[in-house]
Amino acid sequence: MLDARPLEAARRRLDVTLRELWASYFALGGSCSLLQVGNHLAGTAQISSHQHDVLVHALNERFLDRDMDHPVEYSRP
Amino acid sequence: MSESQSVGQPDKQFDALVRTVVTASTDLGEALTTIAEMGRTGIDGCAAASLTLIEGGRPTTVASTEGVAPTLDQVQYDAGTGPCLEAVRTKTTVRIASLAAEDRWAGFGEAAAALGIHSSLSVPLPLPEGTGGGLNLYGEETGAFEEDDERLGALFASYAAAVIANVAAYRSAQELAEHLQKAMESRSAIEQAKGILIARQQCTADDAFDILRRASQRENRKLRDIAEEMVRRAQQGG
Repeated sequence: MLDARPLEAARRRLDVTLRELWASYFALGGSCSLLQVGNHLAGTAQISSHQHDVLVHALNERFLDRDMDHPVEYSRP
Repeated sequence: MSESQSVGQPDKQFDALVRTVVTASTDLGEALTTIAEMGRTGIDGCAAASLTLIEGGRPTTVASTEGVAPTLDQVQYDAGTGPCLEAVRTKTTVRIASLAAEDRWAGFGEAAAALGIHSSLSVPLPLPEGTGGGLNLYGEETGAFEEDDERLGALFASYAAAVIANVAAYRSAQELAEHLQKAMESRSAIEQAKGILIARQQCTADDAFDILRRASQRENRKLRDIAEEMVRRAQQGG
């Protein structure tokens, strides 16, 4: 069971909209829809662990822009 | 006076107006100037016309016919009051038969008279909340505008608002397309790098992403940059 709560917390901390986050995720090759990603973050549905990690990386790259070294954990090390 | 008499050749006029609305893409000024020009020629007694747009609380004349309209608009902006600003603020049409006899806006009647303008018709543009605008029609004669002209003015104002909304939608669609273009370029580079890794390491696509992601993490560089570099090197036989 993947825990998306840290991702949602990170999204809020970064102050990015779901749409903006999804756009970054899509640019990294993510293949889930905006709705699926939204449901995953809300905890109402799950995406695969790989898609979860693409989403984590989209968040971490935004943290990198603020000189923060990958604070969100990946499901796979 | 019937509507067809007051607008001259209504069919041709409105064909041209619809064309202006439909084809307006990026050049807001040009499309609105066409509408101001049509307002002047289409409404009897109108000597000069202009369009005011209020963004961030600041009014500016975005289009006008040749002549006194921009000067008279500016007199209102400087004073912070006047028939046009009143129409925008109250969202109602303001028709003044005699500017000289009007004492609501100190000095405006005199300024207008000095430029040969004695009456006005100001129509608010039906724009979304947060923005405002008005169509300003100025007449040389006292009582140049009649009740019928208010309806015509409202029609021109609606077209102007449609043009403004179209341009805004076009610009945001263009922005979206640009973002999508960038995202597709990024995806393409990452997919190519994953292909290279799959061939070299006989791994899955997900594993290939993890390899790129770990490199990005280790080197504190964007995954896209790492992917692009990998593709470049592969092309050079590296």
